[in-house]
Amino acid sequence: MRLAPAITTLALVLSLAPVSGQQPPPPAAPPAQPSDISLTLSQEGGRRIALAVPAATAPASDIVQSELVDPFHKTLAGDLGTSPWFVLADPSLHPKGFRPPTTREEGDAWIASGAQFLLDTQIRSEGTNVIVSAQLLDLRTLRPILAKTYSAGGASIRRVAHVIANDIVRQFTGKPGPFLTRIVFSSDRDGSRNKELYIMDYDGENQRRITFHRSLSIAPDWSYDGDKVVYQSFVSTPPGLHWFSLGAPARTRIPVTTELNSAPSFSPDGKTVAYAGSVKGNPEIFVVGLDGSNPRRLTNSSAIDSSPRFSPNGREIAFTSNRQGSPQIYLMDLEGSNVRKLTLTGNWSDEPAFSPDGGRLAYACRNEGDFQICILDLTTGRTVQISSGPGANENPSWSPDGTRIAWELQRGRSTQIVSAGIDGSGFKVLTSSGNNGYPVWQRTTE
Amino acid sequence: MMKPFRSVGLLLAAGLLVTAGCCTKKPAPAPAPEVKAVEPTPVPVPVPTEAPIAAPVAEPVAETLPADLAELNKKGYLKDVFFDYDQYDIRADQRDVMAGNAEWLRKWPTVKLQVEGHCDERGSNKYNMALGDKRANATRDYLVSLGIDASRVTTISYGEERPFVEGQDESAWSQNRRGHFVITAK
Repeated sequence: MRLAPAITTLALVLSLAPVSGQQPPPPAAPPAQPSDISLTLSQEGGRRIALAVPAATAPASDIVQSELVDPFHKTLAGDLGTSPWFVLADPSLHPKGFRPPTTREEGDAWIASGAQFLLDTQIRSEGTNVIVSAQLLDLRTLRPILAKTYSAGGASIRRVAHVIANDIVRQFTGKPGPFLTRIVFSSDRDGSRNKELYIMDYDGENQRRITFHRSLSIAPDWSYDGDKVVYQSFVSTPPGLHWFSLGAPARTRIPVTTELNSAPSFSPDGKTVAYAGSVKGNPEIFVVGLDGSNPRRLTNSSAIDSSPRFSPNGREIAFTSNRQGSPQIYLMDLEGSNVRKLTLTGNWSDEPAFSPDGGRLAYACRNEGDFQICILDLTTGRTVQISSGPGANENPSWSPDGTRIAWELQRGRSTQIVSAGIDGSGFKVLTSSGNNGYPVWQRTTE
Repeated sequence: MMKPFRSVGLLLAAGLLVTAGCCTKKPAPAPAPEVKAVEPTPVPVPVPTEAPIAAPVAEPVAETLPADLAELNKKGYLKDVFFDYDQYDIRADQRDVMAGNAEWLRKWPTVKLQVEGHCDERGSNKYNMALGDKRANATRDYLVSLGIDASRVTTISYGEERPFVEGQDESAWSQNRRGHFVITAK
């Protein structure tokens, strides 16, 4: 049994809806309604939910094991294991069998492994299709609180795992996790001095190139609806702001009269971008329509102004300036008025990134030594540093559910994209080929 | 794992003052690297008092430039200028270099050029892209102050995207903070 060839087009359409006609393997009890458990998180007082996620059961076969069971389990356990809502029970403590547990004794054997819930999955094939059944069991009641069957269709087994992981998170939090989201970034892997844009899944899988300028393509931003990417391109002089729709071949240069033209940021409505443009050697923050219409200069300072980011409500722009000495992050409204300094500590702050709810700002911070990733709570003014250790950390970007941050980490001569929870937990290295930077997380969850 | 901020670190600043502080036009006030920017205007310091207007007379008889631009650029007639950390004014110790460049450009008045602004990797990517723009333009403005027609000089910033020297010490970094000249037309 083989899966369909890997899907390479960006505009892939998937048939991943739960198969309503499919019955899960005889459940121990009738599926209960999801609402039964939706209060668990608050009841637990913020503690992580203990999940057992054993490898899926499947027909014994080497090819099924290597092509389906292993990648499925790695993906599912990777998703849920790095989610801030869960802690995975140690697989070496899982009981043998009892899938699902049907007696109190069997349930207690799972509880003894440290789990409150069991995510039991089965993989089987039907013709050329792959069917995955999943049920989430409350080990205290032995009742499933979620039971669904998924048809892989032409999609990869990894994608099925992400869909299931999203369903599990949604079950407890009401919102999906970041498991089906993607990250756009810049990489030099295909040419010594060039950088092209790439896209990858949130966990670093499915990396694929999306620009072919044979030049520098850097500092991308992703429109809020997930359709467009804008970036700084050096394919012509002066460097320009280019954008394209994912899945469409056209690359459009925004006509502007400025030079520099760096660090574009989409407005939430996707109609304009803020960017750093230079007139006679003075970098200022501009906003311009995607078609070049209504260019407006928002700053007026002889100092450096750079790195603009629209706030998620579209009414303000954060940017970096050295107008009062060292580079620090400021906030202004869309008229360029009401300028106020946001970062009050450290000797260098840059690359602001608003959390999806607009309440926090991640940025590259430095006091001494290397850059780290800091998060400033815009309500309390409190700053926490989420990275540590050797290496320079830059260009943070939030996952659309606000639980994780991706950034670039330079250690020695190697720069790679990493991600972690906003408390620094669940650290993962996402890239390894060449040098990779400027990650920007898709803003839609699915 | 969260490190609290410590008070302003002076390590980098101290290193810089040792290596580069010898001949700045005004004595660096305090060790903190950002102290200068209280007056952020990049004033290109056009003080070509002893500009060597003397003798561009180099027997115009035989001398020619290589026809090929790549060959011409390899000759290195125009010398790069170097900058202090997070600074974009032409250093006092770079003025002779700039005077030499201006002299050569006066001698070859049809030559056009692009000034590339480059930064070391210690700053942040996005700010450095703007800093490189400041450096390229400060370099151009200085040439203009020495009498070079502004229309001959374009600028571009590469930020820290195209370092000249690999390495993570001041000797590499100081090489990467530069204005680099590329002749674009003869």
